[in-house]
Amino acid sequence: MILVGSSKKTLLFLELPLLIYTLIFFAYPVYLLIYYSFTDFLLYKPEIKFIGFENYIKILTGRGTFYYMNQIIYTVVVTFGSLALGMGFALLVDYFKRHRIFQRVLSALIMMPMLLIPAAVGVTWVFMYSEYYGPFNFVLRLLGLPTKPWLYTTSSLWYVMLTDIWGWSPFVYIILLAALQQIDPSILEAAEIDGATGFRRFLYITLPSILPLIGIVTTIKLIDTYKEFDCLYTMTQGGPGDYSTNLNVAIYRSFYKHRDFGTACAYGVLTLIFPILIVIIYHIISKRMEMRG
Amino acid sequence: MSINAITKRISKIPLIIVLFLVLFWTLLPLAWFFMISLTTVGGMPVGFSLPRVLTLRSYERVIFGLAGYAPIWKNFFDSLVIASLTAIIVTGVSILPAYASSRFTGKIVTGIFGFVLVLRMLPDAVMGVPFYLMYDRLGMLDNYVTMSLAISLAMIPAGVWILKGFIDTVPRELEEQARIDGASMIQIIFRIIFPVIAPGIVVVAFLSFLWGYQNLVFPLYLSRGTIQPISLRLLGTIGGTRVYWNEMAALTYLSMIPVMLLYAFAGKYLVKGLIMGAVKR
Repeated sequence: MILVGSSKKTLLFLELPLLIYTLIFFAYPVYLLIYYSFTDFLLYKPEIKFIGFENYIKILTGRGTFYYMNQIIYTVVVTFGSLALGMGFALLVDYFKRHRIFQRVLSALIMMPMLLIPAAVGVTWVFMYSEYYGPFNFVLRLLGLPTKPWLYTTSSLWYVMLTDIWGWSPFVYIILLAALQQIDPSILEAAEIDGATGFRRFLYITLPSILPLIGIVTTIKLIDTYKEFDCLYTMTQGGPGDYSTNLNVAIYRSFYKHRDFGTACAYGVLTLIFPILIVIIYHIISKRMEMRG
Repeated sequence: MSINAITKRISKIPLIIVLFLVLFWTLLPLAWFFMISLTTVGGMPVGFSLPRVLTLRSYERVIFGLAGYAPIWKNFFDSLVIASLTAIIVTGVSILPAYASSRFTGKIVTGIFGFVLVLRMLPDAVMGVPFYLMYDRLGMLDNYVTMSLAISLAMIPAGVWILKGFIDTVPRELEEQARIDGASMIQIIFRIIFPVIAPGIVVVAFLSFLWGYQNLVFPLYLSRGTIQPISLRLLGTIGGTRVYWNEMAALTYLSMIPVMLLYAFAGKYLVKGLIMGAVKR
């Protein structure tokens, strides 16, 4: 494009809203986060002292590593769980491409969980897991097994993961379905005429053509699940004890329960390290790729 | 019936089972909890059976706030104000940078575009504490505008990406013609780009609205009790000493209404936005 006049000034003007916004609502808060992570800032304490890495040491020698593990497990399991389920939904719905109306109804039903906001998903599933009225315990009772207080067991995190997969697989489904519908049907037909079985068609035609989008969805899901707070906090508040606490919940717990802002900020910084590392690695890799090719 | 037709029928059975399982998995929690909203605490089934009592009493209590129960109107009002403000802020902040990313090249543009990726990765829960400290100092806790400004942060990247995608499709000849006619850049953006990418603006506004509506983290950190959006109210129902499941269920289903309306009227836009937000970068 031909730029008229001083293009640098125009560019600056165009980026101005974003620059001002991020300066106030990103740069400054992040500065506060890092600054207070090195202090013993407690509410109702008259003076704030600079204590160096003490908060970090306290976290990393204490339960912090356990919360880190929870966060990583949660992120990986939920991402790949909803990816697998969403993929299954997409293939199922795409299979009915000759029955337009049926396909639409099925699609709408599969997308139903997306109508619930995360806090509502949490409330719904707390009920599903409830000791006396929850359908999960009805099944156990029908099988003659003792009932279980699901969310009050040490593996409560896994039951929240199941909920999260339930709530988020429709999102993966929508995107993968759009990808499946982009595939040229004549290619699949040609393969069918050549005698390729359903599984081989999937492996050699369908999968390679939607692979880029699978990669993107996986990345997005990894990022979003790493940020998970709503569903988890609604369902267990990080409990019982701190068994289902991840880093995000740990921040809120130190903030709210103990009013220990210094530790909360240190947890925050520790939470950010992982995504930042990934961005850096990503940049290095893409630079290398550029240089090579 | 020929053997062939019979085998064809039998081969459909696994498919039907899969279909049944899928619907069971997605719909059972929704259907079951809906049924609970239509009964009383004493009438809740303790097995796979229908409730003993069917009534709309729990909805009545939640909506009109009978017997010391706060009415839902204030929660809805708070949620809708926050959601609308979020939609306005995200659209307003991201439209000019989106234009810049679409029409300019160079280090600054790619740098800013890459930086936006970092915003996308920030967990709300991490930003909650510094936002609290910042607003507390300024006396701006419990404020619709400041809360929405915080909520918008994670949505700005999607706003820029989606709008850039739409602006990319506007032919440059259109702009150049206007420029020859003596229009300034601002005039071009408002008179020519805006009308053409109106669907894109709608997509971004609706997605941000939803994001603001569902957000729990920032109201949790930044409210002192005056502002109580529906997400916060839902969280508050958990962990009380007596649990009124039927009323919690009614609240859950009432909280779906704005989302349902949005999907009913603009489902196509929303789905398109979700896909674009995922794909365009």
